[in-house]
Amino acid sequence: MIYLKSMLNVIDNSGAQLAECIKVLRKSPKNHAQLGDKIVVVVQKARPLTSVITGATNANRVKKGDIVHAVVVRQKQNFRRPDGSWIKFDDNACVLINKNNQDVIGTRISGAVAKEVKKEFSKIATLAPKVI
Amino acid sequence: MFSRTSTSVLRTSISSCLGKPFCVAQRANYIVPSKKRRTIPVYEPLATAHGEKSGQLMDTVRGDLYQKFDPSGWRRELLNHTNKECLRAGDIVRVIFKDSLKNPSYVGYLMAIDRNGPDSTILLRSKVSQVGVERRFSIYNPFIERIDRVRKPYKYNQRNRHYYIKGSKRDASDYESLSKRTGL
Repeated sequence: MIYLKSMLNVIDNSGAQLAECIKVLRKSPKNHAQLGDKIVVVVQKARPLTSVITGATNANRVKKGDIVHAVVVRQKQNFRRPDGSWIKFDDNACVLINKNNQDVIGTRISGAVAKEVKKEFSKIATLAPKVI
Repeated sequence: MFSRTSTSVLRTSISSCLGKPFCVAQRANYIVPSKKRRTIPVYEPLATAHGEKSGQLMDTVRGDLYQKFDPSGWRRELLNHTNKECLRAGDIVRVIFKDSLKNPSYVGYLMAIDRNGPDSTILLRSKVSQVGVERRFSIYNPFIERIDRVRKPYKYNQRNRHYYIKGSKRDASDYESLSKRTGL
C-alpha cells in the first residue's frame, strides 16, 4: 500500500537512499501501488556526490529534491500470489528508473526483490542478488 | 378402430353396465424398440438427504476435500496434535514445490500455524540479504510437493504464535545462506 507521502528505501546505486512517493501511475481508482507498480518519487535523502561509488557515472546520479520514476520491489503490506500464498517484507523499497526508456538508473541492486517485478522489468530481476 | 376418446367413452359405458372396469390394451406402434442400453449416472445422496445434522454435513464436506487434496494423509499428520512429529511454532521448515524451477524452495522459521481444516496455513519468516521476509503457505496447496522440518530448536520459544520475535534477539536469520555455509 504505497501512496502519497509513503517513504521508500532506494536499493540501487543511483545515489538516492530514501524517496517519498508523490504519485502512483495508472492505478486509479485504486490508487495504491503494490509490487511491480510504477510510481513517481522525490529523492529525500541522497549520498553525497563526493563519495566514490563504483559503477555509477556522475551523469546518472540523482540529488536530493530530484523527481524520478521508480518501481516498487518490496512492500510491507501482505501481497497475495496467484497460487494462494502471501508474501510480505520488512520494508518498502523501490528501484529508480528512467522516465523515458524505463531503464534502471543505477547499475547495481542490493537486497532481495519480489518476483512480480520480473514481468515488466526483467533487468531489475537479473541485477538483484535474490528474487523471491 | 377406436380413437382414444371413444375408448374412454366405451369403458365408462361398459363399466357402468357391468359394474367392472374394462380396459382395451393399446400399444403405440410407432415407437421403434431399441436394444441399446443407456447408463444413467447415479450419485451418492447428499449429506442432507440422509437426514443428518448440519454439523455432520460440514464433516462430510471436509472429508471430501481431504480425500481430494491429501489422499495419502501426510499433510494432516503435520497438523495432528497427537502425532509427535507434527509441526510446531519455532521449527525451521522448508517448503518444496513441484515445479522447482518456477518456484524455488523456501526455508523459514515457523512463526504460526493456522489450523483451519483444509484452509490451514503456515507462516514462515526468514531474512534474505538482511531484509525480513514473511511468507504464508496453504498446507493443502497441490503445488506443494512436500514440507520438511529442517531443524527443531534446542528450546522452544513461549506461545503458539511467535509474532513477537520480529526485531528481537530471537529473530529469524538467513537460513538459505546458513545452509550453504554450514550444511544445515
